[in-house]
Amino acid sequence: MSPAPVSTSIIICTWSLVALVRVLIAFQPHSGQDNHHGLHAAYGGDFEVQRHWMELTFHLPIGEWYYDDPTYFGLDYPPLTAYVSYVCGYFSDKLVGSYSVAWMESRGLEDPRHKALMRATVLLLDLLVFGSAVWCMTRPQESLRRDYDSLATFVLVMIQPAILLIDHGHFQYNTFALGLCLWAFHFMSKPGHCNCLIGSIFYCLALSFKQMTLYFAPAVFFYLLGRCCAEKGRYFTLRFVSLGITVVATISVMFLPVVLNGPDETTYLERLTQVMRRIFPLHRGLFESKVSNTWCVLSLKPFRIRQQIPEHLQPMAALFVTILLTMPCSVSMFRLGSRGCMAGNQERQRTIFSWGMTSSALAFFLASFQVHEKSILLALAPACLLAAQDYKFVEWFSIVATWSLWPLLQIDRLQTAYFCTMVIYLALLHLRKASLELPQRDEGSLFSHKVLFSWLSNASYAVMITLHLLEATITVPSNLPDLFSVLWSLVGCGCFGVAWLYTCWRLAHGERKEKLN
Amino acid sequence: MTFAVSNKSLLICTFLIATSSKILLFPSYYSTDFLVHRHWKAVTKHLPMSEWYFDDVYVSTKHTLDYPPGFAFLESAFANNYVTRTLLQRFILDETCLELLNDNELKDSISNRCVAFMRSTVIVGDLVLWLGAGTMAVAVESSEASMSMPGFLFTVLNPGLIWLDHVHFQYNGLLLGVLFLSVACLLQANKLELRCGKPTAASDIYQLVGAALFAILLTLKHLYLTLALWYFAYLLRRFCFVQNKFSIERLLLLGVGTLHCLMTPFLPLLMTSPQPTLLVKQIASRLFPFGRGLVHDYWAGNVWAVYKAIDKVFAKLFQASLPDVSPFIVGMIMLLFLMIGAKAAWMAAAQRDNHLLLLSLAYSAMVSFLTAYHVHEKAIMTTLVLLTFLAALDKQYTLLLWESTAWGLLGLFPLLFEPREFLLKLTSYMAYMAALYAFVGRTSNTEKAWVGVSLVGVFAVIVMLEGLPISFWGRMEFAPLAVTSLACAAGLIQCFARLTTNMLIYCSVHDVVANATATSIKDFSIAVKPDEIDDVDYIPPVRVVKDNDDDQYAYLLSTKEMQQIAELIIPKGITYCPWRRLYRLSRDGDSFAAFMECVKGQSRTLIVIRTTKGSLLGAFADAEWQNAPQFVGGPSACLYKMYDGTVIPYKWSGVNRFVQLCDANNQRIAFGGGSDDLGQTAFGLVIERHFQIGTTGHCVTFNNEPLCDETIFAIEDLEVFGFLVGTF
Repeated sequence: MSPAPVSTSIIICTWSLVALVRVLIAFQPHSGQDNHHGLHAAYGGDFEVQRHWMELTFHLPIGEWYYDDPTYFGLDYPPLTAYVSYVCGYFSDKLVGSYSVAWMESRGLEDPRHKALMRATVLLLDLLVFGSAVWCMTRPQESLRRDYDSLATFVLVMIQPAILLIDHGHFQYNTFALGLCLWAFHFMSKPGHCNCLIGSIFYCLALSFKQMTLYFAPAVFFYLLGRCCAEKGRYFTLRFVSLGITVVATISVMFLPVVLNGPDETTYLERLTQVMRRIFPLHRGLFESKVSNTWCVLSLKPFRIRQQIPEHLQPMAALFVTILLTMPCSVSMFRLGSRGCMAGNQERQRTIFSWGMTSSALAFFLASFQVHEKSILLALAPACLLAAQDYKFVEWFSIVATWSLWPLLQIDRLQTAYFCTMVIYLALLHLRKASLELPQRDEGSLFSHKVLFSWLSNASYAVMITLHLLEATITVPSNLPDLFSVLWSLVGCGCFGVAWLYTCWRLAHGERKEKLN
Repeated sequence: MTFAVSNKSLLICTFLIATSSKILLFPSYYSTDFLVHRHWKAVTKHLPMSEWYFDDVYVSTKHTLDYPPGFAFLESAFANNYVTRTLLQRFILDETCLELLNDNELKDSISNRCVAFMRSTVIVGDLVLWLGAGTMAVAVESSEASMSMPGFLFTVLNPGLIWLDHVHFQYNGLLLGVLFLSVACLLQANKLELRCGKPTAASDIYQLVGAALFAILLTLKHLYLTLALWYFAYLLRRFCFVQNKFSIERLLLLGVGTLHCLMTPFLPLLMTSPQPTLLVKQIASRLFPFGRGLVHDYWAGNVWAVYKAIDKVFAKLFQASLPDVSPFIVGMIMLLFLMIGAKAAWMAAAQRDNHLLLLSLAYSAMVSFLTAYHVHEKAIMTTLVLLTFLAALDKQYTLLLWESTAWGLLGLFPLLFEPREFLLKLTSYMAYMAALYAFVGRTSNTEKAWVGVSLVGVFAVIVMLEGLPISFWGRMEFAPLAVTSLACAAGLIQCFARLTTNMLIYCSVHDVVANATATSIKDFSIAVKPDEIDDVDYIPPVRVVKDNDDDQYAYLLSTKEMQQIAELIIPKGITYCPWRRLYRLSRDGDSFAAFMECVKGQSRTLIVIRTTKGSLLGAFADAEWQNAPQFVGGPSACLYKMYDGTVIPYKWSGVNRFVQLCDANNQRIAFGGGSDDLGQTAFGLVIERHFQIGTTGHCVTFNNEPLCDETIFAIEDLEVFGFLVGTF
């Protein structure tokens, strides 16, 4: 029996509800709202960062964008961010009023109308780029009609609490970058070399929007390399060169305006280095604040890795460990690519592909240089596409990821939003689980079969809840002010380590199955 | 739905999601109503009862208490309870939040925590809405212990209620919850009596509780006085008449009980007051401020908005103005319309008819919105939620519900005017309207076109109201609001006209049929002769609504045969209705589930069967097809067979009530049963095994011959027709 198709009105309803949840979260305070920290000048918060970039790009000529005062949130994202900021700044100027982006005057601006517009830009870009990508990727491969099953997956991906809280609560444009990545993955996992080219254009756009999308780079690179070698490497040169040209061309188109324009006395190379220095701030240290990755954990008392490795070697060490951790997924992605993409087993291939991307992003999150806690979203986005294949892992991973953001959300006063979105997500998950008659797609999931992993996930839930309760009831001793953020990063790091191992296992498992076929 | 989720987990999850969403709305805009309710809490916390209505003596404020005392006690309960006291003691809630304050001090005194506290009380109050809607959803279902999920969910998740209560700030959910509880009691009383076949003490108690709850509702908010006439008419006929004889004792019982509930909240105030007469005058002047003008600041979309607009145009064009409308005239006009509703309520009471009960109640609510003096746009919510349950009871009203909701909710848009609420309004409106449209189900092309026209209108209004900057309008800056309220008025008046027509037709039809059958329902031993009812007056020619695939699947009956069926079998009340083919075996597949899906919500259906031997036979069912363990159905049900192109009907004999059975577990439907004088039992007609096999035999319910030559026959094709009530 073919699954029942979904009527148009239900589809409209679903999209509206997905937007509604975002709108509800957007009512919450953004990072740094009400000048929360009392520092009017450069108070912390990505909201002011993004607003300032609108002001900056709107008023300064393109050549000065990357030369502006770095002490007040200098532009340190790649050029596409700047272009998008320019467009948003233009609309802010026209719709809200020129005061919202007035040069120097508008710093620290807090105005409900302006906030509404900023929130609306995130919502629009989110739905247009991320929403559409998820919509395409969750559609059943065979049929064009959408069934309730895939609609449920779509909703669960779109209601990821971590992504919602960061983009619509804290305020960032992550979904734009993630959406571009997902579009790239969508095309890359389709048969035909042309799709690979389109996919790589999208990926380059994502890279020139947010350098953090480099987390997928090894997996993407080895996958595409594999695709070039497919069919026993018959068209290797042609494919490789065309991919290379596409990548270089896209990146150049994005970077050329900021390289061609600049202060008079500088050369093109100097300008490019200036942009790169801004984008990759190697001077900012191994990690920022407390983040659930290896370096943060290893810098604790017994290890004190920050003191033991000389500072100039730290980036190298981070790079080395990261490469080590990305090895499994690189190998597996290369093999996946070199098997070629057939129309018949696309669904399974896409599954393995998503596992590979998750694994790569997790490896970077655990071991790379200058990691933010928000970067876990990069691993979360491809992972939650697997909800139909392994919902237990996805459920666990999304909860852990959201939980690991708690210290940040506390600073932003998003505690209420955190609990509410969690409840909404869990309720939807429960409905989804209750509606699945047979967990047939679940075969091969460690979490449902192997006692160890099931036990592990339950234990981690218990630990997470306990930590929440402890934090609410205990006053921290004065000599350990960071106690809870450290505990948070410890537990988070442990969980993400397990998640990384699990992705590696899924990749190996997938390989074995392919071989059996 | 394909999601096989149990109702219980669906309810719990919906509750959690809805409550979380409401909490997320804490930081949104609040209106002066928030300050009003805060002030009332402060008044009831700090002043003695007798002084509650003299609060402006103590502080300078315009947010004076102007609801009846019952609501004041409710506010008092929110302000003086264990939880609130604890919150205050532990400094979680600041003292100023519940302090008596002058208006000029308010600006800086409202903390975020105060807002959170106040909004939490609304969420707590919403529990009454959930409870009331739940009992309503159970009461509108014909079978026991099941619940109309669409009716329930579309009520508790109504975005209008969320905007009003959780953004704008009011306690509408709580009040509507009480109204629901009251109406549900009345519905239950009828269900109970119909099931037992005679009036019981339990159904009397249900009615008394319903009346008491309505009295309590009046002491909470006097706006519901407009429904008092309906309640009076209904209860007078329903409760005070026993076997069509008026009983003064029962009237006294009802009156004393209701008045008692009505007076209780007033008594403590009057007893403690040094000058009771002054207090009464004061309360009266607070409750009925007639000095406020015909329309509210934003015109609510009712007839007076149209009147005002015409007045303005007249003034512009002819320098003449329409006569002023005094509250008295408004009252008279409203009363006139309400009388019609009361008449229908009287009929509903006489016939124990839940359908007409809800229909006339929704009508009365709509009248009070459309014609009352100084109406707020919020008052439309009562109509909308009542229509929701009417649609849950009978699916033919879903389209009407859709349109009224579209215009009614649109009328609430200007209430939340800040830019940050725009996306909230838009997304929740779209989600709700789309879901409601999915509930409407299959629509004909004319209906689709009509929906399309409404959508275009709604879209245009939204663009005018929200999309264009105010500077665009120049000197016409009032235009967006005026256009909104006029468009909503037009839409709602159009819906009202359709609702009224439906109700009047329903009444006139049931007047004839029910007078004859009401007695037979009470007493099974008297067999009615349905022929006497039916063979009067003219039967219009049968019209069948065209579906796209009608050419591909011709009807089993010829036009002539259809006409005969209309004359002999179809109850007179619906002979004017067009037919529509709901299900066709060869088209929709031989699946019982498909059949159930197709006939869902149809209260009357005609089944036509052609056997493999070519015989034509069938049945007319006058109850909805719903899986139930016992027989249902009423006196107009009928079996028939075709013999040489003539219809031979077998009408209900009145001997027993084994009329129709729907047994989804065994995938079969059946008509007629029970044992005859010889002790033999047989069904009149059974269709089973996914409509492949049928059996027929003599049964006492219809006193019929077997409908075809073979006792067990194979079905070649089967059609089910429904009747489009309220369409011409």
